[in-house]
Amino acid sequence: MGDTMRLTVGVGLNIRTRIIDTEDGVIFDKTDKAHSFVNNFAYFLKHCLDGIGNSDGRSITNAAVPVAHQGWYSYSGCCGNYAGMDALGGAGDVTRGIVVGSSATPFAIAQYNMQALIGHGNGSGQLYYAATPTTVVPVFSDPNITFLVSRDFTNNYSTPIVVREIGIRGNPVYAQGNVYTATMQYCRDVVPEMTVGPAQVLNVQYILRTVM
Amino acid sequence: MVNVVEQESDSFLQNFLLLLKAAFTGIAVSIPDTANVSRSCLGFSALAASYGITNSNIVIGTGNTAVTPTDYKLQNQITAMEHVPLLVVQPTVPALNGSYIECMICSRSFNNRSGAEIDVNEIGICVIASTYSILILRDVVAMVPVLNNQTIQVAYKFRTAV
Repeated sequence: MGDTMRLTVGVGLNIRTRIIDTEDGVIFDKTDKAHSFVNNFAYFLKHCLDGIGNSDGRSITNAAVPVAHQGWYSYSGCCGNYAGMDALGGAGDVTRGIVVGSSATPFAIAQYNMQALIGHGNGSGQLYYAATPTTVVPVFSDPNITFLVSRDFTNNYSTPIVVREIGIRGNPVYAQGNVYTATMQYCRDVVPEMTVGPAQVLNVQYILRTVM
Repeated sequence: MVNVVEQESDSFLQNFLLLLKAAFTGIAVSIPDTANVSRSCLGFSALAASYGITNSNIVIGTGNTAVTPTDYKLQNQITAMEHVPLLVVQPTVPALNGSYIECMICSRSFNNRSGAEIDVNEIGICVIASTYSILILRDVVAMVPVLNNQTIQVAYKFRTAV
């Protein structure tokens, strides 16, 4: 005899994209609910909560790596347990932080990579990746608790470049700050086509929230 | 007779986002533990599932004060019940269910052997981060009276939007 209570909780993402022209200011500004978490993030969240190491995450190359180090691995020691995503990329870093691409291939939860990454640089077909900063603290805005991740992409070439997909990458942390060398993709969004002209800046913001 | 209550919950606390932020950035954050002492924590921690553990895993209480995002403990945690180490975790592989990925379902049972009825009004989840107990979820629910020798089972389902 007894009672059973079943509660469902979740996390989701919003995405905001802006294009800033050096002369005209903000010429595009759009915020949408994102539809982007892939299996890797689900594995991460599961591992963090159940404490059971798993080797189910996939690097962006889908490479086979030792089970003990693949994905997010539980660690028990004097300082506790944790796993991490390490997704704060510096300028020019295409392995961590927000990344952009040119493919419109539909989203699928089993995806482990961008479909056509736009590389970092100032040349043809490239965008200059600034650092990926976050807000200082999570912000409460009833009913959501959110924190924001942002990155600027500048077109320093003479021709426009088209962005159709956005994602977040990082390096999985499997034990006490040991960062696994593989790059993992945590989410991917296919967005309406955006053209970033010469000298224009694309600003991408992901807003992680607790209520769907 | 078993009464089953199901509901969607919006109970993640600021602590959860702080832990998620730390995991995301790889930079430690200061988080209040269940004693409201600020602790430096990095990343997530696991749910301990040992018998009698009351500072992690699913926890229950009698408090009915409304949830606020900065809650750091249950209002009045119940320790008089047997905290069963049952932690059912499924699925083993995240699965797409409509517009969500079901990440995990975990549950825990609490046996009332106190000799008297205990009314459950709040539930939550504590994790261990850097050895400290951190409350990441709190829900105030319609009162569930648990009679002596009865068991209450609480299950949380985690999902992400796609």
